[in-house]
Amino acid sequence: MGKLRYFIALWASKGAYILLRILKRNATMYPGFVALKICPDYLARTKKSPNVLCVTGTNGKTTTTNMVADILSQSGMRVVSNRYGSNINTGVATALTHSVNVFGKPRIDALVLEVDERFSRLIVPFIKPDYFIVTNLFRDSIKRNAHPEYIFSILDTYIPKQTKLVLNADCLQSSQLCKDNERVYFGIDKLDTDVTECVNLINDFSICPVCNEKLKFNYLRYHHIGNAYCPKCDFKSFDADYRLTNIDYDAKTITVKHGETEDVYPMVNRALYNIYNELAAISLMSEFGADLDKVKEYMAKISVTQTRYNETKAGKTEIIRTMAKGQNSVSCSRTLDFVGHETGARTVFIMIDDLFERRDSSEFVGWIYDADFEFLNTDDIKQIVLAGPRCFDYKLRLLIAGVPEERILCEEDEFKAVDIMDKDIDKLYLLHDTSTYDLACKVEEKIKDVFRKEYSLKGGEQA
Amino acid sequence: MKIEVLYPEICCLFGDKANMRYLEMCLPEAEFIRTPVSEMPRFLSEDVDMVYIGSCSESNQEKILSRLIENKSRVEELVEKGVVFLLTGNAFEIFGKCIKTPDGKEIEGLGLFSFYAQRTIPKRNNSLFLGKFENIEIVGYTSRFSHSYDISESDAFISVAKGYGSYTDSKTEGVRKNNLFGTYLLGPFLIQNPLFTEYLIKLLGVENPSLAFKDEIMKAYEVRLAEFKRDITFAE
Repeated sequence: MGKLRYFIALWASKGAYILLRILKRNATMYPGFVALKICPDYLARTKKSPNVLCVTGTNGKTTTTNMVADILSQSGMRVVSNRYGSNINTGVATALTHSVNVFGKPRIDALVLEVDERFSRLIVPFIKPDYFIVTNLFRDSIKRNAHPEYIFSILDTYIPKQTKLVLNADCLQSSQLCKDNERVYFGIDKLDTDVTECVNLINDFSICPVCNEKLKFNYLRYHHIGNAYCPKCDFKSFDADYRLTNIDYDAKTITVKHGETEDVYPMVNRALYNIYNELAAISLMSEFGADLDKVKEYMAKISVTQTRYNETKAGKTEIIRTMAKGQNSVSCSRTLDFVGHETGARTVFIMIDDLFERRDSSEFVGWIYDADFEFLNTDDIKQIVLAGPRCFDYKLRLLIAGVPEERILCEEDEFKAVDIMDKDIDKLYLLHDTSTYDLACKVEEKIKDVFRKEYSLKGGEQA
Repeated sequence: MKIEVLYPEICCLFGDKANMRYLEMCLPEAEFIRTPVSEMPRFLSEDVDMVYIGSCSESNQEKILSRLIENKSRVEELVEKGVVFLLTGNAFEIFGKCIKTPDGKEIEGLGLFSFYAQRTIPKRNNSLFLGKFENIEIVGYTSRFSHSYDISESDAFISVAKGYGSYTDSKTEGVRKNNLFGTYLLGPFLIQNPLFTEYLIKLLGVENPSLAFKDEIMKAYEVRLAEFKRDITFAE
């Protein structure tokens, strides 16, 4: 009976997919929803692909998953991934539907899945990953993810014992996961920019989990990412098996040492959080037994998806559109750190209100007091445009961060904000939330139009 | 004026840290003492004017409770003396009779109030909030793995207009005893409620409080208040 139910679910799921594609609708979640509705144990019943590789973590899981899937695809493997789909159980069920043929037999070589950390309890015990990257664990949406300890307890409870973990040695939180599982660690050696006292507003792993003493850091990168030890007991960070020993920003390369071997890889993206993502993907590929020379070649062809980062030019102005996930203070702080430490006169246009909550509710913006807006308090940033319904909250936040009032422009309507912002600028950073991506693209188009016109009026050629 | 912030390295979830940061801007002359969990509270050895505790994880809540319960009588003495206590998020739960966990465990509280807290893990309780304390309209947000029951009317802090009170349908929110104010509302509570902040500063003995960024903070408060009075979704 169970088997019959499984096949009905599989066929219904495949049928739903075909139908949605004919109707030109998004087919990443619903086919899986149908499958799980008919057969609640669909994930457990679906025959495993020869290789199941999963990625979770608060930040970087999409980028890392895409890198892994791209590398394996370029190597000629047949890969199914949920890269355009949902990372909760229904999205994973949809990916599983694609991973088998109508007879339920695996038709691919590798299943590469991004897994939502909170939903992992409904996914990983059933699909039993062979390898599981946990990029990091930080604070995230208060509503859904509560606090890092809560997410840690879910992963620690539900990751199967036989899964090999690829963990971030520099993340004091996630590196402590599932101590009985086989594991390898990746980490970045001390950098010139590292410190020993936290400069961020939040550090969720500042005291020793054994004796409560304040931890000391050999080096601290951001938040609780670094290398720590307890001055009172023997608690300390784990040693990395895959060590990033050098970052060459001019040559756009990174050097990774594993055992006695050192390899140089192309740098996919210069933001440090993306270098971590790349290192995680390289570590997994090495453990997976991939030809690392080929991995280097493939890495050269990979770029961070355009929905997250895009550089373009309009008139004389360089426009960098980058995601700053709202309600996720650490992810947002990483972007603020990146933008704050860029060089040259620039404008920062912030539109990170939650688009869905503004429709019929009101967003809780307490998280902005965990996010390091202080990084924007630099003389190089000539104007900060705050656009969206919560702009008054953001203005207050910037004032508390010490940003002079005359540098702040506050406007509830994003498009109107473009009209009234300073136009004579060389560089603009447009920061948006995942929910405001489409809106940000429209705003970006308007910004480009305005800058092109401005430039042309001044006698410049159109860019 | 001495203000002791207890265990800020762990009682700091959800933007709660901003409360004391903002109060520091309003009270530049005050001394702010930040006591880590590895040290004894300063209020044991000297008088302080105010104690603040913010939101924390459930395991850290038990950790700080185990620290404070050893000094229960001193905490009680301070509350009776009228020292200002501000407790945001789940911090006030430790002042009740006990905290009950879903697996039936009962963790003894400080017992300054007769209410008990019931954890609801994994059910997260999220809600916007609109209410009134005396003649001050209070706005805020709660997100928690618990509710509190059996809070008597005389012990309640805020009357509820919209959103979750101490439990889903409760007409009151939080607890109050003398100058102790405990609320499930979390994050930048003082920044979002400038009129209450003025009230609190007056309790600390400042006759004419001067709020930092007063125009901007009032603007943000008024925008939020108007929004919360409209027909919007408060809880999912």
